[in-house]
Amino acid sequence: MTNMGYFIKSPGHSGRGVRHLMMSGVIACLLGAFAGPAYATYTSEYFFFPAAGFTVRSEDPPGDPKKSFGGLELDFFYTADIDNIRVLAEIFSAVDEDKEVEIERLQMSWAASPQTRIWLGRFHNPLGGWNTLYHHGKFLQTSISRPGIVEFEDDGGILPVHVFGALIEGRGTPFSENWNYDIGVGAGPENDEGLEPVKVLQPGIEDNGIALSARLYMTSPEEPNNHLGIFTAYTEIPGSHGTPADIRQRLIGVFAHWTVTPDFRAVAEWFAINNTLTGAGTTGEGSFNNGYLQLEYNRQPSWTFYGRVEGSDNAANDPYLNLFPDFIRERQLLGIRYDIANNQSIKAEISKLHYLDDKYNEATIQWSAVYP
Amino acid sequence: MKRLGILMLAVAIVCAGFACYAFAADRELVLVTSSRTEPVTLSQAEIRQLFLGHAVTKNNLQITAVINKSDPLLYEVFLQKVVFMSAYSYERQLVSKVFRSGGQRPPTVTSLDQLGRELDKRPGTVTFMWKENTRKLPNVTVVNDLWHGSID
Repeated sequence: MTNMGYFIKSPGHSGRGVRHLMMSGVIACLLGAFAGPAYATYTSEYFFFPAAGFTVRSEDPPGDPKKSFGGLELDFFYTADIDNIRVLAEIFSAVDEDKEVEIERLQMSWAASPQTRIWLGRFHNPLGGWNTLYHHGKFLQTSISRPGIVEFEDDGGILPVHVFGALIEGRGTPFSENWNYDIGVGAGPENDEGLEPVKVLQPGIEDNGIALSARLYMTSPEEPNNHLGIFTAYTEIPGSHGTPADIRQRLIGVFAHWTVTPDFRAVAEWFAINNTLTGAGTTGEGSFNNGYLQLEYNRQPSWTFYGRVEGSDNAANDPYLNLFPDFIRERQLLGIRYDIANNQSIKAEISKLHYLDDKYNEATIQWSAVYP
Repeated sequence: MKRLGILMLAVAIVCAGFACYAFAADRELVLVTSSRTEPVTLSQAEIRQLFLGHAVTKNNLQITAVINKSDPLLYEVFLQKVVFMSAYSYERQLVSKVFRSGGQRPPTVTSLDQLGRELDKRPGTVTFMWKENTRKLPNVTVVNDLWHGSID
């Protein structure tokens, strides 16, 4: 019993063709919106985020022969408002051993009211706070690394960080203007020796299941960047080759990103995740918890000192996690950031990482910037 | 005669000190808008939200901010007394807000002439400036007092 009927997939090519057509239609709408600035009001912004880093490891993880490696990343972002319509695109390129170029976000939205915006396209799933605060702009996040639980799919991530579909963003609820919500529905990733989200330029080449997510959070009137909230998600992740199995993932969590004083900021998130695997004549289920706490002290104007602790509970008993050997189950990290100018920084981190079967120490240095 | 000279010099130094103190205490940072805009009242939290790039609506009028960089000292006082951040952190926050969900950063001006033109473009546009400079722009009205004090 594989319960395939719940997935947005079918044994033949007809379902894939319909899905391909739908996704192509959305993309055509997005590209059409980019093409025409001849409207009453048109404003736009673009940013270019380069980053270059170098890492040294004390011991190699399984399958990775290198003890040191470096790479260059380029992230281009563009957004434009045309009356009530907003378009947004983010294209990421990594020049390292993987050499990838990917459209990370391609979204178009309509402002249904000053507080509500409805997005279509590929977006970052509102799971916690980190995933939608920093995206791929390395310069914007204080640290070099992302917490393992919200790592990108390409880098061994275990959650559907990118979703292709619709997202409703509500800023202010009927109860209070300080409460905000996000509701997402769309196509999640496929599991093909790692999660594979929908590719914008090749829609329909994977089998994708439904991805639902919701987030409710409050902001402080005095500090609009302070967020405290809860979130939940349900995702069906088809397996690509029968084995491993199809996966149903349910998660809930809480998060807080809080500037306590102008110099001190705390970031914490906690996830409780349940996975059911079906296929190949067997059914398996497991649950685990994961969380992290990052503390940042800003010595004005240029220096920031930070540390992060990540941990998992019951991770060894979840069959889903066994499919992801690159998932970081635990990490202790210390780092320092020096802002050279308004748009450039140098960061250095030392960390101790625990993977599925391995653990090692790591030191990384990175330059990152934003232009213009 | 020599004593009289020393006494006069001391008096001059004290007077100069008082004059400097009085001048320093005169600095007032105010929030202004175009005189075409209906009077609005903004709380300190709303002013901070505006300059961090967040939307604020008052009396069905969308309020927007312009960042005044016509005077480096003025900008530094604004950072310290209104948004409570260093320039590095503040400008990173503005980029981060746009990068998250689109939109635009508040426009920046570098001269009083440019400032006057920006305020005239659209009702509901606000910015910060020294109170003494409001006399140079006849089309602005003061919305809020943001800070006053001496600058060493």
